[in-house]
Amino acid sequence: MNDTYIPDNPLIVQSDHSLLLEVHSPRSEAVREAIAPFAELVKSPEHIHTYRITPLSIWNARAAGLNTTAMIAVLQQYAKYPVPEGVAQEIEALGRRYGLAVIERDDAGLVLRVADAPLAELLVRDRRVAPLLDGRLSELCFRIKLGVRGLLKQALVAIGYPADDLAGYAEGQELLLQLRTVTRSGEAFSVRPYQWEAAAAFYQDGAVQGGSGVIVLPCGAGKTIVGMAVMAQVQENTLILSTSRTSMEQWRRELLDKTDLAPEAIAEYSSQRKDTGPVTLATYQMLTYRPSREEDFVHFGLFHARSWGLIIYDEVHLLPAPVFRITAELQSRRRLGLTATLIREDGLEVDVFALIGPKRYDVPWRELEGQGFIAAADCTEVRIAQTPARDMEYALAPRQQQFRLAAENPRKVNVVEALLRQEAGHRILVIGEYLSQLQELADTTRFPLLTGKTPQMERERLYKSFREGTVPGLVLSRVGNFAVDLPDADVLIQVSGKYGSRQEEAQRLGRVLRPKRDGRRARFYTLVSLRTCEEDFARHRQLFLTEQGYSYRIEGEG
Amino acid sequence: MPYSQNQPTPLPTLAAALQYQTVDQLKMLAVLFSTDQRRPTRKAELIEFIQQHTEGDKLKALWRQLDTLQQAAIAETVYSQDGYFRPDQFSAKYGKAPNWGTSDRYGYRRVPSLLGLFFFDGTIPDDLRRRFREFVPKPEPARLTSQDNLPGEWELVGHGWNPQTRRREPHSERIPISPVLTERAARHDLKAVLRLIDAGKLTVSDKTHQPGAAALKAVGALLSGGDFYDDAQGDNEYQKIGSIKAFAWPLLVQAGNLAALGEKCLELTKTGQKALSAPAEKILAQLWQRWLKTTLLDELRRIDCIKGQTGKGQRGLTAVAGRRAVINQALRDCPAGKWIAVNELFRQMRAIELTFEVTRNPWDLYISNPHYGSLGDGGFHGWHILQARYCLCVLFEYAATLGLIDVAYIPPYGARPDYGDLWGTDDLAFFSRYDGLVYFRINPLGAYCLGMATDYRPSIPETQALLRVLPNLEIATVGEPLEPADEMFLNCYAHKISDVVWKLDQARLLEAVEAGHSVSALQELLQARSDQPLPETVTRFLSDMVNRATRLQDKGAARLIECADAALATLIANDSRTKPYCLLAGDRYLAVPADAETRFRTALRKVGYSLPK
Repeated sequence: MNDTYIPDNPLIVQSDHSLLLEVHSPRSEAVREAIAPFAELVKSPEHIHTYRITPLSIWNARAAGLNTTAMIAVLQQYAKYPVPEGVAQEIEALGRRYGLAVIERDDAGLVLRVADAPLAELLVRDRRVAPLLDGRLSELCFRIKLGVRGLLKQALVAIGYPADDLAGYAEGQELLLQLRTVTRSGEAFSVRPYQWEAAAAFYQDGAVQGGSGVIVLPCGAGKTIVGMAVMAQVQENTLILSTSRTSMEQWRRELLDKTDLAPEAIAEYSSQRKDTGPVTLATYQMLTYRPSREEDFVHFGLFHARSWGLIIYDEVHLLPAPVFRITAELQSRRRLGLTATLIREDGLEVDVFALIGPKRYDVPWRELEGQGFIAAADCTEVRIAQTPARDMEYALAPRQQQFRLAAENPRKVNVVEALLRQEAGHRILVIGEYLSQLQELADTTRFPLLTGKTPQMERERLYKSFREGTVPGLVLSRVGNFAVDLPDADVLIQVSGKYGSRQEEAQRLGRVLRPKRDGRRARFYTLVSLRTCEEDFARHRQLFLTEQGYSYRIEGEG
Repeated sequence: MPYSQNQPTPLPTLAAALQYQTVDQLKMLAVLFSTDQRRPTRKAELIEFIQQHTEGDKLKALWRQLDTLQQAAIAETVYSQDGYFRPDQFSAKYGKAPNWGTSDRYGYRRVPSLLGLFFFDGTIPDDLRRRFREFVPKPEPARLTSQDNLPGEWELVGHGWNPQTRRREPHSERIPISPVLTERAARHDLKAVLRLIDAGKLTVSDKTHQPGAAALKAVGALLSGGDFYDDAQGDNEYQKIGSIKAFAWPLLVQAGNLAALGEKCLELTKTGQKALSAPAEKILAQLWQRWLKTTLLDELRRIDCIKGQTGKGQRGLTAVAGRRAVINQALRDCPAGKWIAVNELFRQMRAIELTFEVTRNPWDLYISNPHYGSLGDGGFHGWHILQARYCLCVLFEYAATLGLIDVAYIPPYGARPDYGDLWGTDDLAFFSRYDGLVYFRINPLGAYCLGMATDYRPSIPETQALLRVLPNLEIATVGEPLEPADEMFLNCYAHKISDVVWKLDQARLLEAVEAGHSVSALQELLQARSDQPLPETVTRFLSDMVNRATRLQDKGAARLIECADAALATLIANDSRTKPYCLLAGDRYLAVPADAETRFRTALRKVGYSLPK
């Protein structure tokens, strides 16, 4: 244990359980690999990356087989300053709790085994856990009531004793699926090493220790491919839940392009068609539909429509609360969560851990960028002054309208034109919030406009045209935020946004992060009206992007 | 230069000197010659007898009979400018007085030694001096002893009660010496104190300009390595030593004109503002020079047990500038880079007569009681009590605080047991809090500040905390832990979000600017402490804040006047007589700047209206 200042060590362990890693240090890569299993990367700006040790990160690490002594040893080995006593104690205390409760299966059903009598007594007296238990089989063993496996796991996490679920999974209907080596479109295809690693870390050769959990990969890193690799390993009927119809289409396209599934094997459960098949695609929105607040979710029957062997939750950080509830009943199915971030705006990371499973794999975007798997991006904020008349109009407007006035600064159109000239020859997306502004931009740039009102068929046609290069750019409303797979897009101009939404910023940037064939860098422009509240919102977005490690420049007046 | 000039009158010849002696005295001198010749009894004959035996080579023969110390006394006096023998100086230089002869316990029945033949009232007659010079070698100048290394311990000698023998017995104890290198700390502390003042968190008394308990605590918390002594460790009030550095800094910055007392607390002057970014060594040198002349404090006041300094005794105190000039000169005479015992410095100062008086009238200074404890009594106002303690204070509290001298010290308890005979000192744990200073060394900064070196190169390379300024507006310390002063400085501008991370945010930064802090100072600090250029997001953020902070200006107070209707308000606001003094505010209101109110009222009357008060 070091108790002095060691300048060459790159890690600073803070008493609030955050870890600062100096990325320029020669030892930073080794440290990153050592701490990543038990600390969540919170932000990764230039120079210093911040990780945080949380109960979930510790339990995730314990689930992966790492013990607390090893975690503390890593901190002590690489810490620049003495490790605060409280941090080591907390790791020890939290880590020790994982696995004290184990869910197993016996001939009669599920049982909960606990490590010692005090914990057993604690559980039988806990108002959240006790109702889920169906009698005591021995001093340290309880029968679990039918159908409450998920709820019990949630309750155990809530009281700080996460269960190690070794009860295994029900067999689903068989699905014969092979990944292609040459895509249907004729291009060579192979799963990248990290994608295989992620799939293997999830499946664990079919062992009960695997089969449920979350894969964290940055935007553009090919989470869909990881999903398909897992499907190829599981070989059972799969239900894929995603955030939008466009995303569903993307899954379908990818499955058809890169696997040997026949088109009729992929069913769509949507507002238009309510089919189920060996592979079924649905959206969260569809599943959570109900005619009124008092009625049941009418589409939840989908979860029991077939004997699913695997459920894939795409963008699991957006998983709506009702789906958590139904997921609690599906603990005997293998569950794969895919996401770019474990952080949820609603703080339900704990439910993701309890009901979907622990984090099984992650890899930082910078590593993928270094290996050329995602494109490098330059972010530029362009500040544009308003006309004096517009300045006055802005000053006199009610506060609620000021943001929109600033966002629709007419001078932005000129700047977009200038950027289009500057980026001529590139594949450009213009994304904005307000339809009138987007319409004006579409008229000026002669790019097709896609909004929420654009029929799905028309959307797919325009996306296809863009992918094929027959249109050089698109003007997109908020529909462009999610799951638009436009691999060749390399310039994105954001003319207006949803206040300071960091999630929106990440999603939009993700549109241009697909690796380019010629290795060129993606460019992400944000247009901001000078001396307006848009500057303040832009600062939130700026912080988010810099914290993700993107280079950020500010151009223009001011 | 001693204040009083009570030396004896010069004597031109031996004969003249002998004439001043009584017959008895002459008889005692006559017996000093080893001769079989009968000694005369009459005065004139005795004088002649003595003169005969000191003529020619006989003088040299007599000189040869003197011991080394007596010969030194002759040499020192013969080669002195005025022919006087200085007993203090001689004792300081040679360690003890020469043998003058014997006397009884009360100083009577004196039997002179051979020196009595040459010294009359401490003087050698001019003719004898001329003759001595022909063969007496010139004395070596007094030399200051210094050393390269410090002893690890200091031997405390004192008396203690032995319970076994039930007697007070002498004993000695070895105490570890604490060496403190002050150079780096002073550079840091200067900035820390200036930043504390800049933050408006240092208050001093409006009468004495001295820091109170809260200020001492505030300064003490910022000092690099803390104060010399830490009273917090003990709970015995009787043994509290008190602040040294924390007391000195507020006075030093005031004396140096870096800070001045504002309405409630110290505020940086323009010089002080500049000092924040100026090279520390220059400011420290300036502070020392200013301190030499300041009248803000008489360091004798810091010797708490010497009373009477604010009463009658104050009138007798000598000017502080003169005293400090002597100490300054004494320091300049010391070799740089060598450890010197403070007692050795005191010895040297007295030996070369580089000394000063603290008071013209020690009778008005006292310990504990003005009658019994007066320092006027013989021996009570000796060099070791007044001058030595004054020197210790200047050296320990001001020179060391400014980083001019490295110091080695022990706790003051029993460190200088030379005051035990003084009335009223029985209950003192120490005479002054500076008594523990035992060694000092002039460091490179001291050599520079004292004018002994033309340029300054730090003896210890500066290791500054390294800051990493991140593009997401966070500032992290990744090197040496941040000094409290820098931490306080950052706290003014940014939120501390974890142990070593601050986050710049608009509200805090604007608040800092509003409080008078400069964004450029922050930018300078960040640039100076960062080994990378500041990220563009940060520079842009700071420039945005500067821009926002300067777009509004406070133009002073104004009086808001309500008019009966909008037409009247518009009339007054546009009338050529009132227009220069008011502004239309809304429909029916006028704003009149406070400093234009009288002119506005006058003009308003000309327009035909008046504004009741």
